[in-house]
Amino acid sequence: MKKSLFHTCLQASLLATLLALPALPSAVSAAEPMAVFQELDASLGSVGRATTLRDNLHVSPVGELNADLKYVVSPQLNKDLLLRVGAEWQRFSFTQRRHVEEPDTLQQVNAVVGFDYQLGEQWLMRAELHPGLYGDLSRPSWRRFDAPLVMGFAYLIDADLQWFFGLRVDARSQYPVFPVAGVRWKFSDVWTLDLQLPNPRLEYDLTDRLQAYFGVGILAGTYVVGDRFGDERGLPQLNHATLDYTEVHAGPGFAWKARPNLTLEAEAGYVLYRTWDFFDQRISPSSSPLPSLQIACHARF
Amino acid sequence: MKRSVIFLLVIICCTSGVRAALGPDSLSELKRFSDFQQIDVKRLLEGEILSQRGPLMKFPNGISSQLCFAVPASPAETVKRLQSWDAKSCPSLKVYASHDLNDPCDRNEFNSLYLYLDPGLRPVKWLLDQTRNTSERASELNLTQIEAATLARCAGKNADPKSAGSCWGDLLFARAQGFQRNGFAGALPYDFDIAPVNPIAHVRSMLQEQVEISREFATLLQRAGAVGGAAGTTPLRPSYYWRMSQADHHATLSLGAAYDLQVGDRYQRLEIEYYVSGTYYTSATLYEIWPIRDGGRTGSLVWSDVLCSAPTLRFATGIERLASGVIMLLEFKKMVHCFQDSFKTR
Repeated sequence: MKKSLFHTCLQASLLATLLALPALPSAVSAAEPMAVFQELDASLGSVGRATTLRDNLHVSPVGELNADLKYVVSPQLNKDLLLRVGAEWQRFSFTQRRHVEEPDTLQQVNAVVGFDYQLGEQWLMRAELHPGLYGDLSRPSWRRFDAPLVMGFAYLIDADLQWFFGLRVDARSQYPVFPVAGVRWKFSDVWTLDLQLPNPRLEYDLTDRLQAYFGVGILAGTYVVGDRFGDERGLPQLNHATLDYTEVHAGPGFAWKARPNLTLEAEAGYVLYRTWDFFDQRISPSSSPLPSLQIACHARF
Repeated sequence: MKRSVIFLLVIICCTSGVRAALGPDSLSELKRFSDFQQIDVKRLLEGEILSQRGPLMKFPNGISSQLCFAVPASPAETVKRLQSWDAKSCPSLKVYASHDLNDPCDRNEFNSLYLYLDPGLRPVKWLLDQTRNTSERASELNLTQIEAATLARCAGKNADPKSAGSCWGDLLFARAQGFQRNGFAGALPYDFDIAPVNPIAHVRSMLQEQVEISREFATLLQRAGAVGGAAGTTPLRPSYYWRMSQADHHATLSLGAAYDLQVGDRYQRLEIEYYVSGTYYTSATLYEIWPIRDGGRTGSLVWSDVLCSAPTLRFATGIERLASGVIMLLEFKKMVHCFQDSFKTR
């Protein structure tokens, strides 16, 4: 209850802050030219069939298909501030036997509301609130409403070295506040160590348009399953339960700048870690390593 | 917030002093066209550099930044220093070579170019590789189709640094000759992009978005020929140079011109790269230089506006362009530090 109240207050105050923000500078910058940027990111991933472990017993084969689509438009409001408004849809589909706890699908449909801002001479920040529905979307309900906040700060040393500090705030998660730090270091003309979550990579520029990399990808989110999810599995305590889903994959990949505004990526590797953590119920099935394939497309307009 | 309050106190304390040192007209002029609304001459004379990233432009390839600093010399001496200052003396600027050119220039003035094409340096190796990979139909370098065909024939697939240097010498000489004869109208485009790129058109597009600055420098820009409207005025005679420097880990050859104009007790200066071999398209820097004094100390207040156009900016996201502007500012600040240091060793 306390957590829920904290959650509601936090979201309301963040929403109010973020929605009120654009009103102030837009009045100031009415006469300035306004640049508008658009971003479209799409990705599709497949995880091969594997064995799910529960209490160290093999209980079911699991395959996965994941998809993500995100569009953001970013108009400049004044010299130091850019608004970010958009939408995102993400879906994980799992094939499974009914008696295991893993859901058939996890989905999210959310808005993106945020801003990019120059805090100081060498500091940039991004804040994004992702209000939307997270979980079983076949029966939409306010139980599945969530609004995680993602904040990132960049400290720019020069063109080759930048430090990053981030924070993910999601009151529904087992870890409501999750801080991260990273660095991007271009240590030669062809090598870049880009340790930014959720996709840290060691990159090698084969040509000006083609890049090879070895990277880690983290897909994670907090979802609320359906109201009868537990009944259908003989575990009524899992009805509308909250779970943290985490998937960590690693492997080599290629990024190809097909057009100046279009980058295509393909990555093959292994999912090293995958867990559906119903932390309130202390049920946390995971799966053993299994092969994966990810493709992505990033367009800028 | 704390910083703002301190800054405010400094402004309140120093405003009257600034007015006396710089003169009310100069100060209000600077405020009118620049991003700097408060200036503490005392702190500038102690070495402080004011800097402001410019707003993101509608022009998709452009970024800009403004700086304001002081040097302990008269405006005339400062202009001379800007003309003769050797950026090679500052290793952090990664300038391999910088040579003035005569007007008209001679092919021999590019003869030493090959000496700097050391394939052991990775940025230089990139330039050599791109030179060898250039064909009449494709190139990663900023060339016309005719230049690409000529370079491909001249350098070939196995060009050593000496022959590559000679081919580049021919190319730069032809570009410099064309510019010296025809001014900005003689600047050739770069053909191997999505659409042909005219670097001078890029500079004009960036200036169009800086209305107050363009107005302040209208006479200089017109008499230089960078913008129209110079009919009936005497054209300015520029100084010319070629340079080899590093940009984003790539060795880059460039041709530039600098125009100076005295306006009363102050000077205006335009430095423009009308040709860049690759990595970015062009850059231009506008300077305005006033005499200043603070108590017994005298010197010059230097304001500058740096404009840069690059292919990578076109499809960068908003925050990436913010970051590019910040990084350009930091790089230019390095140059200003080196320039200020050069006054300590005169």
